[in-house]
Amino acid sequence: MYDVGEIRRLCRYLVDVLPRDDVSYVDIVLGGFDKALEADPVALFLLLLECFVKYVQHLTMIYDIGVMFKALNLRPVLDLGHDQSLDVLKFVDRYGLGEVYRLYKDLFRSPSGIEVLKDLISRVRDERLRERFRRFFLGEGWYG
Amino acid sequence: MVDFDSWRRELEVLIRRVSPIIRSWGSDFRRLCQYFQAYVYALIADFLGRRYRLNPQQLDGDRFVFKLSPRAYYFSSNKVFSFFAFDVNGREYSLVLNIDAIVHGNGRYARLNLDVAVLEGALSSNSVDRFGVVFFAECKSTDNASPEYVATVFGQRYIVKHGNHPHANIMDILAVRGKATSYARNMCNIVSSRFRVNIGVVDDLSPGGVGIRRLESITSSLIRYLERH
Repeated sequence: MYDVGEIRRLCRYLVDVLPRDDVSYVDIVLGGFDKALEADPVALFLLLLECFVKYVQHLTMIYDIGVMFKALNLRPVLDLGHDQSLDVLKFVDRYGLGEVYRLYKDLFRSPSGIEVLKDLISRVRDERLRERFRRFFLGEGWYG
Repeated sequence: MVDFDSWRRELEVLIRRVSPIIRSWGSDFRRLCQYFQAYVYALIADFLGRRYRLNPQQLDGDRFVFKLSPRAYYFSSNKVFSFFAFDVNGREYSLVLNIDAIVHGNGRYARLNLDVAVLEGALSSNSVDRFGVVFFAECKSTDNASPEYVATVFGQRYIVKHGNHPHANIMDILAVRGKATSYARNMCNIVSSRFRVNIGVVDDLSPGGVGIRRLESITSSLIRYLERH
């Protein structure tokens, strides 16, 4: 069983971390941050978490690609233009993407993590938001 | 019994780990991710371009240089597609992105939805004019309500029709190009069978979407393949 106070604290934490655009978006979807924090903190938390996880998913993918290139014994260098370049493997090591990858899998892909997410999603009051979160976090309802 | 507390503690570790990356890369994050994804497709194309054999030495030893050429164009006012040309160690590829779903609404980072296909050699080589400028295609929606697009591929105009898919995708465009259709289908089939993954038409690469899972599947299959060989 979760503590609502903890959920609210996590919401504030995520707001602090996420770019302003993401926070504005959440604000628009839920019709105001403060209102949502009182009315349905779990929905607010999951929506903020969704924004956050999108960044994490890309980092895990970068990690995958880093592993792939390591296996190939290559050191790819991204040419970013304007005389900027990026060494992919250095990027992976510098930001500890291996650990990010492990945490992501544990939190969002493992059976226990999915149980927590299912439990949280079931507590969201709005049916449409519940569906949205099921689709995003649990991968339900995708065609293709 | 759901253990929320331990899950929450682990989540906080993840947030602490990722927040400096989000802060330091800011708006460049999206661009960076696009490049990384392009890498994967470039590699797949390179597998195919080398008759399905991979030799790392052929990729220039320990330095695999990916260069997005300054030939990225966003066609059409409603940004249905963007076409990129890029080199991998001097070998040219084209990358087709569905830019429409990447940035929308108020411009916030929304979905990195890449309707991606890599067209190697056959399609890109004759598209470079003598100034080194590429005009791959022009693709725009004729009517938002109608799933029909006009595509100009190498100067020829095509009406591209597709079924329920909300955006034109590259298979649709290739479908009007005769040989290119089988080329693309073969490309997908070869990758699919070689790595035992189903790529087909990558229809949704939004985070959490089926395309991302396919991409994850492709990369992990590639890794497994490389580990075995």
